[in-house]
Amino acid sequence: MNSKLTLINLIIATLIFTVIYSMVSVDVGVHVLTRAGSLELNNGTVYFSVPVEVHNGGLYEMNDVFVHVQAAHGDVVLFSDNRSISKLPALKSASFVFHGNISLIRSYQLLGDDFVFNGSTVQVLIEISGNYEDMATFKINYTKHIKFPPLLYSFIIFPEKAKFGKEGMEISYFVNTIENLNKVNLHVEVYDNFGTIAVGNETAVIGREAFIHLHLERNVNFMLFRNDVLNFHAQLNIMGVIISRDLVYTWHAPLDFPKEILYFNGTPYLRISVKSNMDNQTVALKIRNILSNDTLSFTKVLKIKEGLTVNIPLMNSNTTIVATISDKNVGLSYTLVWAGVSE
Amino acid sequence: MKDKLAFYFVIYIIIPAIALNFASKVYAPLSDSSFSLFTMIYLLALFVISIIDLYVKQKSLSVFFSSITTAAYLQILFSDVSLQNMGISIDVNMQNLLYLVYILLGLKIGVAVYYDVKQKSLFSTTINGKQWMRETG
Repeated sequence: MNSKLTLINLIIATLIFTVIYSMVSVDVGVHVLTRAGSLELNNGTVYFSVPVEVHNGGLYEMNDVFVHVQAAHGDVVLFSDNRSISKLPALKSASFVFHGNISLIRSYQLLGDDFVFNGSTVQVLIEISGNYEDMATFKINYTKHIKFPPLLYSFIIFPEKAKFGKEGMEISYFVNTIENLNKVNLHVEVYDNFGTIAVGNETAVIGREAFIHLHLERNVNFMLFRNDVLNFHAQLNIMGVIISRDLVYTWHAPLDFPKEILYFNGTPYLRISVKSNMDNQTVALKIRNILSNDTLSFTKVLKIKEGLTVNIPLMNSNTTIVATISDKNVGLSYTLVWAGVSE
Repeated sequence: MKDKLAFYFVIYIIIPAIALNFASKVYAPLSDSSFSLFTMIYLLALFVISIIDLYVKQKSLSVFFSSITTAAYLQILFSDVSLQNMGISIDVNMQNLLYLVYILLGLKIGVAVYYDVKQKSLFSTTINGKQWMRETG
């Protein structure tokens, strides 16, 4: 009798042991291809592939093997796909390649700035289920976290480095994106309370500080002497994904407006105060007597410094005086006209 | 009798304790889970049943209790198994397998009962035979 009972005991022990051993011996090899050659960006869509290899290292054949792959960021599911095979023999492997694509626009809508500027930790969940001859069912969960690079590392506008010229305005900016992005369009509009000042649209230079040229919509020479609140609305268009930056910048006029001509011992002169903190910039003044048709220009180059007051003697004349003051660095020039100046 | 007791003690207590200790070192979750506790209680129960078996003539009684204990132990610990291995979580439902095991345990009880009944009938046949021989001279 003992031998028969021992035989039954051995059968039970063998069944339990072999099934548990088979479960533990399932090897899931997952290799999620990311940036190195496989994260392909094309027409605003990120293409990627997730090869999954399931190795049945157990002693029994696996039936109804179902593989589910899901890529998600938190609760937001970006990609989901299934594959199944009816049988996976013992000590054999099965490979599945999941090809996924994620629309950048869709991702941006779902994930917002987190995806665009910080990148995302996308959680790839691989779930494999099946059974061993209907004796035991199993479910294997494998989670892999993949750090997706940010779409955009930097998008900075430097309004303090704005330059004005005869044709327009230049704004300094810095844009840095992931290396695969080639065509990024930058649109900048500058406006104040009185309307649009300048508008520009260019293909952005990636990876280094550059200037965007804006077309002036109106005369801005007043900015040499008057403060203004400038609104910068910048838009990056990365293959359909629009990323906006809005900045408010208070423009501090570099010079104090000379309200009147002063006289000292009968000599007229202009008193200009430098009030901005734009140290080490130069201001050139050109003063011309119109009526005397004096073509000799009076040019004085000032090294401006905050708080400095400069007295600029004018010609000893009783005629109209035109003074053109320009700031070469800022690129602005302003013409002041005084009529009937007399001693 | 003492030799058998010592043998069962080694088989049900000493060797499993060493094996569990070793397994806990190889697979850390075993040391934290209730697996070790339940296994030691189960083995202790088997040890007690094996002692009872030494004093009881019906072997099927000990087989019955050991089978019930085994069924309870398997149901508690192996019907739903969750394992963590190298970042992979594995959930196993072995209920169908356990039904098969319960059938085998039932078979085991059946075999034991059959041999007990057979033993009893053989014993009574022997008694009756000896009585008949005495009566007939």
